[in-house]
Amino acid sequence: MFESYFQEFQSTDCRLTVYRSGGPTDIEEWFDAHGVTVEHRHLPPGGPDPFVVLEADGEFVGSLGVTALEGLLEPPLVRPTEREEVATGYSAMFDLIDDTLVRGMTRRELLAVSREIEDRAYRVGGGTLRVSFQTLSTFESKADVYRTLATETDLDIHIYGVADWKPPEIQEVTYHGQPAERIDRHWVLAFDGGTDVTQACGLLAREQANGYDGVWTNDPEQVAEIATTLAEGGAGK
Amino acid sequence: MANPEKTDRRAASSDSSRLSEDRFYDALSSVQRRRVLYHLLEEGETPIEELATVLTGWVATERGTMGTPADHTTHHLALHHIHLPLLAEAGLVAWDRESGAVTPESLEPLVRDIVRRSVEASRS
Repeated sequence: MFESYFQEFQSTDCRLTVYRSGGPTDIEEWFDAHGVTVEHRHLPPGGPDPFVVLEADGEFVGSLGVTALEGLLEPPLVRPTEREEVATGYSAMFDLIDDTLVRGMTRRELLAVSREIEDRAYRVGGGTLRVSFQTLSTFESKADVYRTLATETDLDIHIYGVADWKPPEIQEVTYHGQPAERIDRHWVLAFDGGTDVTQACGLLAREQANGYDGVWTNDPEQVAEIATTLAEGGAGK
Repeated sequence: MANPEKTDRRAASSDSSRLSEDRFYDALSSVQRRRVLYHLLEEGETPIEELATVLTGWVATERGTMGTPADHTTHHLALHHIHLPLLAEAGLVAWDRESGAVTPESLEPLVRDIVRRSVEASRS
């Protein structure tokens, strides 16, 4: 399942340009390593610090300082007191490379994006959050986080994964054990935004030999499709 | 980069009196216009679209926040209706409204130096 999504996201026409006065920045190497093409334009030495510009279909989508963007790609461990600040940053990150398929993502990067989605669901405090851990035993390390999510909010939470472990019972958390061949390559989160669809966000990643191919989106319709596919156990392969 | 058609007015006045012209000071009284002029002096001809992108990125790096399409539009409108007309009026840039190309005029070394130092000095 999810194959069609990956094909769809790959065709998005995005252009990233780094504006800088010096040599190539680390961010360009990062994008290059992840299969994202980046162009660059020259800035005079007394000009601004390097920044990245994203365009889609020739239209300006956003710009962010390279330092700020690199900060987002090296996420600090999130403590509850940092929620607001970190979430704001990741929202900007979402806006910048929304709908772009990123190749070779690491578990750490996926965890950071996952945390943003969990965080947003926590802040909205209602709606449905569907999460696929590759195996239910992977959920073990996140059980406390989800217990907090479930008890401090009105969220309806659904957890999917290959049933290789018996997870603890938590009110408002429903487990859906899956046969191994269904989802064990996929890492999926979909939050519908509750009563505010502009808060909808989703992550879809697929394990490959050299890491994960991932895409994250704020588009409510795409989030809904991902959620439906997950809930229905996948149409086709 | 000198544009002969645009230099007759200035040719009539001396360098020092040009420096004292109100128009010149008005043109350089805004940080945005100094940034535009600095960028043009260093990089040469630049389309208005890219100048808007540079100004948007400049602010984004200073604030550490995202430059949005609305920010970009705001800079583009300000360039079109305020900054470029003032800079062109003061004889500092040539602006082709048809093609969108903006070109720096040939400026005295002293003027270039003032612009460069004022922009570089504002870097934190």
